[in-house]
Amino acid sequence: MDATPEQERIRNFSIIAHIDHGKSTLADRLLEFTHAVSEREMVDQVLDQMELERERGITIKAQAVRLAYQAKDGEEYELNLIDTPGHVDFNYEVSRALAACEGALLVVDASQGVEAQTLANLYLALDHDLTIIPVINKIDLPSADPERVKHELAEIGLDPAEAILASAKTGFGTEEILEAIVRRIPPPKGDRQAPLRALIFDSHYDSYRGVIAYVRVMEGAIRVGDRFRMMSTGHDFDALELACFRPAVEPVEELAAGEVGCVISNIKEVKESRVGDTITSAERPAKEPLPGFRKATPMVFCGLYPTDNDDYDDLRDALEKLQLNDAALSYEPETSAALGFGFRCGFLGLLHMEIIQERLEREYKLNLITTAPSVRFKVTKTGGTVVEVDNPAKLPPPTEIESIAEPFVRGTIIVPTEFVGPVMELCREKRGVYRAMEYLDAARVMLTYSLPLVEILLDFFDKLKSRTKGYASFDYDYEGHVEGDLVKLDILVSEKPVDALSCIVHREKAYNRGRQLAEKLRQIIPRQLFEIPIQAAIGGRVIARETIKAMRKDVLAKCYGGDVTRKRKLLEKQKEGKKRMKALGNVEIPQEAFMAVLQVED
Amino acid sequence: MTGAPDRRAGRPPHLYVHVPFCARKCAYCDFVSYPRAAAGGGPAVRRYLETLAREAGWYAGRLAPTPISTVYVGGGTPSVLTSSELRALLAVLSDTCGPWAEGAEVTAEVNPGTADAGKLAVLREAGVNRLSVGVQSFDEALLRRVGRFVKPDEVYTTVQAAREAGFANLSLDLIFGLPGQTLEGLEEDLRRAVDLEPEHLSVYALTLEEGTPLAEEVAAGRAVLPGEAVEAEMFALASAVLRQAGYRHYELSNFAQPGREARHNLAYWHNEDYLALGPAASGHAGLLRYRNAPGLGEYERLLAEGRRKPGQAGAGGEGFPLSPAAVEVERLSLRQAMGETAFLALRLVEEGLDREAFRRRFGRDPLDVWGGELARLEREGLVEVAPTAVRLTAKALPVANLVFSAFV
Repeated sequence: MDATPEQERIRNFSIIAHIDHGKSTLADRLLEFTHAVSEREMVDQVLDQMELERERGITIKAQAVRLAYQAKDGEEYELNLIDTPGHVDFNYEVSRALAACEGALLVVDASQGVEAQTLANLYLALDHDLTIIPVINKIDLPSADPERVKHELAEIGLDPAEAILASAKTGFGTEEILEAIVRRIPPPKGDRQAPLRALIFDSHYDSYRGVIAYVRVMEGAIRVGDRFRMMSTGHDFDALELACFRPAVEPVEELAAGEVGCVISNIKEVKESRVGDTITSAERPAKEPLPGFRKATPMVFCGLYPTDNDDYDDLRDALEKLQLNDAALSYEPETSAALGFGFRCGFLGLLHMEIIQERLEREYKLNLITTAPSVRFKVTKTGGTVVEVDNPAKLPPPTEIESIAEPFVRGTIIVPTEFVGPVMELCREKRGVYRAMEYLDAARVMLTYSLPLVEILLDFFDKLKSRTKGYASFDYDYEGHVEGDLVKLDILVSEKPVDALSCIVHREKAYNRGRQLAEKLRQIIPRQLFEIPIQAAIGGRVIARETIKAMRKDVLAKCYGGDVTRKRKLLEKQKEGKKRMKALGNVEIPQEAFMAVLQVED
Repeated sequence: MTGAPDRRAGRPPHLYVHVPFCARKCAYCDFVSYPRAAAGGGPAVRRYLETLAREAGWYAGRLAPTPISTVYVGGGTPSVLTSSELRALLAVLSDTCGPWAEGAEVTAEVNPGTADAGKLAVLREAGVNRLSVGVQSFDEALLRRVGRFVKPDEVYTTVQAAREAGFANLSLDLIFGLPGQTLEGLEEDLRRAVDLEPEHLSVYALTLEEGTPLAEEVAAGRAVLPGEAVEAEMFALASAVLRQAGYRHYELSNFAQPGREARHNLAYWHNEDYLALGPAASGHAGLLRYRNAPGLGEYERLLAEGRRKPGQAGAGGEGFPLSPAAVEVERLSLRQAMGETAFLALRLVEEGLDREAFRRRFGRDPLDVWGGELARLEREGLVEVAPTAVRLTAKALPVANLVFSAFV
């Protein structure tokens, strides 16, 4: 079926790029050129909404902006720019955003060239049969080498002749890009008379409006007042308002096949509007949902506990709210002997985990104790049953374990040739298995390794960056579970095991890790009025011991009229430090202690 | 008396005056103090005295003249001023803030070797009735190590001269935890101090203050402190020796013959109001805490300008006529004021936090404010909650910060 005349004038596209290659700046230029925002409004990169995102220079949530573009063919086009997150952790969200498009701008930095995320995003886009428009950005930089980048584009299967040279900073190439969007990206198709099928590619919870679902209508149409159904749950709701973004909210009466906008409804329950789900009509439902919906699979797990047990309900409410914007976040109640009541949370990756933690603390003002991140092990018990363990403390006793399998990822590292040695060395240290090496050009190679995910959680990124002077780029994707010689390392504080400090490690590394962990904890745990022994143990056998000496003296010698304010501030600081601690019996353990396992060297 | 009632804020009953000059800086000192010669000698002192008069005058016109019951002239080393400078200083104070209340305690700090009979007579004449002598130690080598050039003989001379000048109330300062100091050394210091029969003793743990030469030396490993375990023992030793000698250990670092507690300092620990004069001096009035500009130059400039600028911190509205020199102004919340009242009072080892006095002041009992914390501290054996007062236990004395931090 061909595009209708209305659809002929719509283009839906995304911008994909490696981090810092200029995606947001290019989006700004497109908005500016099409007068979606004035230059004065362009104070900040408007698509990056949240404070946190701006600080980290990344975009977490996809959003859509409608641009009106007067093309050189004399027609006015409606261009829907669907923003995508730019980090490996958010692959699933990227894939849903791309599923809402017909084409994508692939932005490559003219100096940096193709990077690991460029490739990962390109493959995702190709999976969705998108038309790719390569954009070589930052050509105004003195270090720009567009010819080399074109060569690299050819290496990864793109036609270098189609690449557009641009500078999002100066605005050079913006019009050419807009023209290419109109000419090269096909218009959306989809029968406007068919039963409604709209893809949710993003979803926000707004405390005033409730749930806002960002959708791409694939077939049929939705009108204000329609009753609609979430196909994964079968639950029905009312479309109270429909809108698009220019980028200011603009109400519309209808969203029809090919169009992009948002649905504001009476959805209260935050789990009801999941990214990837299909909206259909309650009166005339579609037979099949759109393909590709899955509950995102968390890869990284940690325990989140309120430092103050009274905050448990607040933490649950906050997680529930965050989950709306984030179908990938999972959580379930968990109890720790050491930490009390909390949640075992699942994340797509480390960055995702950090973002959630920061938001809980910053937006919901919660004081949290976070346990070290772990992965989901598959444990085959002696009886043959397989259990999944995402909390090291829950590992069955050794006598009941037949074998343990851990998740491996396929890691892609793009690095200048001179760093191949150090990177291989690092991968070996991290129990990586070499898979392949390909030359992207004379100066850069792409290394592929199978790596245990748990090792990546330790300090793989930092080490990779430092050993390659920051030149390496890294991307990974889950490969499968592989059996390994894994053991549980327990930590005892004052002779009592602290479940939240347990970790599962490879037997070869267990002794060294245990020693270092005990030593780190000795430095981190503040002194008390009595001695505190710290022990590391494997299967009940103590392999390392450290002692925290008792505090003997902590008193302000002088406190006269001029000292009061300063002394009060000192005491306040001392008290503030305590807030981030959890009392285990009579020992106070600071948040840092639970992360100490991440800082051990191999 | 006739006419309209005086609507001016009441004058705080205590006065602190900062004299920012000394002979030379000690390596551990982080007080605002300029070596007299380097600061410009006599002319600099004269400028300081003129400015002090201006500041005292500012308050004299703006505060109701309720009498002051304690005065403390500290520093620095006030005794590096000459006899005539000291006379001028005290004249400024009594002209602007006097006459003192009946039986007022008027203290001046002096350092051995800087206070001769002439100066002491001037102080005595001007109404000073208590001296605080900075002995620190009788071990000359130990003191020299931290840049303090005082000979033990000078201590004896000074104390004797003070007695001869008619001072019946003397306090000696000792310090422990100096690099190279031993328990035996401290015991010797304590014994020699007791032999001088002072009415009062302050025994301070050396505090490494950031930015001082000593802190840098320690960080660089060039000076080694006795270490926490030894310092804890030293603290216990000082308490034992001085109690044995008949002194009350009435505050964490202070000892006195019964009835000879430092009344001015008690005002701090009872969290009362006090007026501050001089650079870097801190004052307290109700919920207001303020500190004067620390630099002598800035202090002088601000008072020469002679008015608070509209944008200046705390420019009006506090109900207290801050002088133009008060650059750091903090308005406490009631909660903060309660916390300060509590941790200051807990420093008073025997007296503790008087629950009745606290209730009168804040309308609530400490147990209502910090019930949970107090229960925890009691469980940990760090405080004793009696019907009339909350006190530190003996176990808590060396680690009192653990208790104090519960109240802020």
